[in-house]
Amino acid sequence: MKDEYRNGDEHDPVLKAVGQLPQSIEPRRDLWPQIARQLDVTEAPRGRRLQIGWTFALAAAVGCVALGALLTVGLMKRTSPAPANLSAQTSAPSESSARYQQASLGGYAALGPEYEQARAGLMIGLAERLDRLPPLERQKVERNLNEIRRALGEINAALQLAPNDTLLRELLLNTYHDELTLLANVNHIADTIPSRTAS
Amino acid sequence: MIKRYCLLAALLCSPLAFAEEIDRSLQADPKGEVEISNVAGTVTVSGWDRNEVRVTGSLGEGVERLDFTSEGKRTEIKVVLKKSTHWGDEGDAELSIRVPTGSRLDVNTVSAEISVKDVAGSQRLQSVSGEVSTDIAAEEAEVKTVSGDVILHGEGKPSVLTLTTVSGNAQATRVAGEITANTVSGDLNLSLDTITRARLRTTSGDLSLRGALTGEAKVDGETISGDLSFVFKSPVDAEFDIETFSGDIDNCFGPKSQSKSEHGPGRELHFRQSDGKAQVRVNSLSGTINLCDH
Repeated sequence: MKDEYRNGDEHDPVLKAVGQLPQSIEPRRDLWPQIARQLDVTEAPRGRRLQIGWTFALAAAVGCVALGALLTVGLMKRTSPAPANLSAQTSAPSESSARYQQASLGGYAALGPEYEQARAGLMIGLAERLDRLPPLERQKVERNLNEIRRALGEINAALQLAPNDTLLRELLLNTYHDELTLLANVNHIADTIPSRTAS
Repeated sequence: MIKRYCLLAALLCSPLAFAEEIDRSLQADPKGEVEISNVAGTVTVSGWDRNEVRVTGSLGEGVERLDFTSEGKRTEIKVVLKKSTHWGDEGDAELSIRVPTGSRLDVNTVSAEISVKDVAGSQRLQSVSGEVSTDIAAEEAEVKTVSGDVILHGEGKPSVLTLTTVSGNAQATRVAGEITANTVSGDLNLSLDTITRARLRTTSGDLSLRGALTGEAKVDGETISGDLSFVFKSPVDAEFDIETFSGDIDNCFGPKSQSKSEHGPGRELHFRQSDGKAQVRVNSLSGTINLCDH
């Protein structure tokens, strides 16, 4: 382009002045290290953005589980008849029936208060409800609750080794949901169990 | 002679010796709801073309009475045990119940087995430990047990099935349409004529699903440590997303599965067969996933 000016009308004073400009200007100092530093700085927020995205995704997933739990509990409450003696059902679950541990996500995060609330609500009176089942079935329920908790432990342990594994996160959240579903189902079955005696 | 006395004594001591025979009938709505509740023994329900509910059978020594009422669209059959009856006592009631074919059923037992035939209305069957067996002619059926096994027979007509067990095994043949099955340690063996939607989940139980995927069917399967097996009727037109954390993936069609990472034990398999209209998504922690067509 510049060559066009050079080869253009040599009588034009502006073009003549442009043609006299140097073709390149060397910087007075090496600017690259500073640019590289700037690039590093701009990379970092991108990493943070990714982390925020992950956190949001996790929060959304936890929210979904909590919402699902609340819905499950709500539906079960709606379909179940009111318990005969509520005060009798506030006993803590027996040691063997439910080793209550806070729901963890690979040891680096915990499920939200809504989830814990739903879970605690289902745990209230679980032992009393389990007592309504035949002894053999009670043992089976306890064994299967422990099976779910064993699975949760297994997934949590794997998550500690691979915290970014999306499959593990999905399996974990679904298994927590399974635990709630099992608790809700046991409560429902125990609440609707045919009465054994004349009323 | 002694043998005869022993036999007589055994008969007198058996629950049947004190059983009370029953045979009662009441008029009922042809599309009404029939609620049945029993603790132990059996509940056998079958549909017929009369607007009448008939209960026959026997009540064991531990049974106080049978409540049988019908009002408007609701018929209730309830076995009430004596106060002194405990688990394992003679509270058995063997009930054979005929209901109008279009009835909606709601059956609830503890250890009593449930068997249903020729009922076209929706079914809600729940047992703690009794086996549940039903012919699915209904649009909708929900079966729930703790340890009782479940046997479902269909006629290939589309229906919506929900199946939940804690440790009971479940088997389904010739059902079709939409199925949701969930178990902790029970095994699920499901054979569907056609599948439009399947949501299947086990914690440690094994799962087997066979059937033909309809146009835009969706199948979601998940297990923690159980093994999952899927056999789809050829030609298969679906997109597959299969992933395990540490389990194997074996498939007899499509590409072979790949390792998820260089050092990890996980496998994954993503591919499209034909146009990929249906969707099959299966996840496992340590269980093996088998995929095949026939």
